[in-house]
Amino acid sequence: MDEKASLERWTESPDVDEIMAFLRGRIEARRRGGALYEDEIRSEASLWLSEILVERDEGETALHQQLDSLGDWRPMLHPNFSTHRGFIGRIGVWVKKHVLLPPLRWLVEPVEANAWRQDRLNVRLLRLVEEMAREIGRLKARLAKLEKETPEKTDRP
Amino acid sequence: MKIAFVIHRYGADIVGGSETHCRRIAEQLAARHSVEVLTTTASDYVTWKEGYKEGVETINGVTVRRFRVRSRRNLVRFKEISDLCFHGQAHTAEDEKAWVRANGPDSPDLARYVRENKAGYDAFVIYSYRYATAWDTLPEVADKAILVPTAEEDPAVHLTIFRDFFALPAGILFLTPEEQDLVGRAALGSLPPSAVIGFAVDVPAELDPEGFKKRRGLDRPYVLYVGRIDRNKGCELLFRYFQEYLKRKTHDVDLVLGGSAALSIPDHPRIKYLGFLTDREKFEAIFASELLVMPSPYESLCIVVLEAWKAGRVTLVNGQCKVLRGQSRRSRGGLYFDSFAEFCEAMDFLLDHPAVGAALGRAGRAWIQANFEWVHLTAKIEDMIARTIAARAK
Repeated sequence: MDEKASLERWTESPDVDEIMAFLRGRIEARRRGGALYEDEIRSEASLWLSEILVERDEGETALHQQLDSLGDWRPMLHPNFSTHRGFIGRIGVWVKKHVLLPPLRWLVEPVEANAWRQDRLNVRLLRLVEEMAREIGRLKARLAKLEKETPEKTDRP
Repeated sequence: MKIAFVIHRYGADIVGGSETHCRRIAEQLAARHSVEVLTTTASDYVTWKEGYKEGVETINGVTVRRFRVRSRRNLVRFKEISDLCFHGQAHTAEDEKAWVRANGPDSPDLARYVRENKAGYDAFVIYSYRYATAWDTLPEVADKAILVPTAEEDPAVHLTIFRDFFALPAGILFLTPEEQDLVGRAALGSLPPSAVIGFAVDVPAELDPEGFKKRRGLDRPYVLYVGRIDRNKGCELLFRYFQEYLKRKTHDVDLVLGGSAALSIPDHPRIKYLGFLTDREKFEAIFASELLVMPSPYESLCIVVLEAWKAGRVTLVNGQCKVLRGQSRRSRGGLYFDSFAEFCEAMDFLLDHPAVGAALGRAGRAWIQANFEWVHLTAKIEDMIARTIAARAK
């Protein structure tokens, strides 16, 4: 397509489909030529990251479940008092919860807040790792397909 | 004819696509018919907080009857039921009805009035299928009801309870062919008689775009967004794209925003928030802009895009929105983007080639003049009402 002639024509009679095809061709040509600018890569990566990190659904990932199978790794968000010592142990738990803990709340609360922040960060980072693993899977599949479709280059004539 | 318009909220100062559509059409028809608007006292579209008094008033020649909102929207409950209905979990028709109730606005008085005064009106033009006001009133007056669904490509339209609902009214008025197709696919069986009406826009006389720029301290070329500044309108995406676009340093432009903000606006020297714009200021802002950008992925009809075309300004819209993409292609009034790379490429192209941008704007204006004038629109509505009356008489 002669760009100058097209621009002149579009100045008289614009064609949205043609212009969009022209713009997409420019993007594709730049990418094919390896001229994907560093800032473009950075921008795409930054947008991709922000889309994943601001995702509303804070549900668990498959990675959470895999890590669960490896052992106890989750941050404890609140003090957890438990006992295996029967009645005496239960009295001890009650004393810790209702007598010892209340005056120490000022000390516990910042720790709880930090644990909560760490937990939210973990969820987001695990989602990110999981999404990257999926992307690697997709790229591997695409690469394998391309390798299959492209005849192997040899030095022989 | 005596025509009642039923809508979730109504007022001269309310900014919202379906609300503006309803108000302008009611005002146009009031010149030839007896028109009343039946609505609620709500002014806030998020909480349904009451901003008007219950009772009767006249706005621009139209009688408006307002009915009390029984309870505001419980946002926690609404999120919970939305998650249940829209995030792939198993749910029942009762859950979906509970979603409509939670969506609101909840006005039993309005539903009662419609039920008890059905005989006094020739037709009920009922807006926006998703709101409780439509859900509660339409079945009561189905043979006189003309639904204006204002449906968007979002998950609500696919709720199972609406399959039958879309078949209930005597007629349906769509804003675009894309919306007609969407509702046609969502409905169970064939749709009632329908027509695509679109919308007509008027440009105020004696505008002063240069004066507007000076008054508002806009000293650089700018890209304009006008409307609700909301995550659902794609504004978060726009902020991210625009800030990343600026890092490429190809053009020195500002992003100017006009409208009410339901989202925090980035503190960036090139992003300028003007707040609410009057109709006159909005058109002055459009005329003074390089282009109008509309990032919304969900639109049943975007009035400000039509206004930009009427003003002869080129637009850049989110291509994921079928309506905006379809209208851009049909009107030849603007470009669209499906990715960040396309957003940048289209911005650069339009800013580098203002003559092509101007030609696109002219094509948009010609399309509006050929298809979206009041005379076309009111004739289609009157025809639809006449058809429903004739069908009842059989």
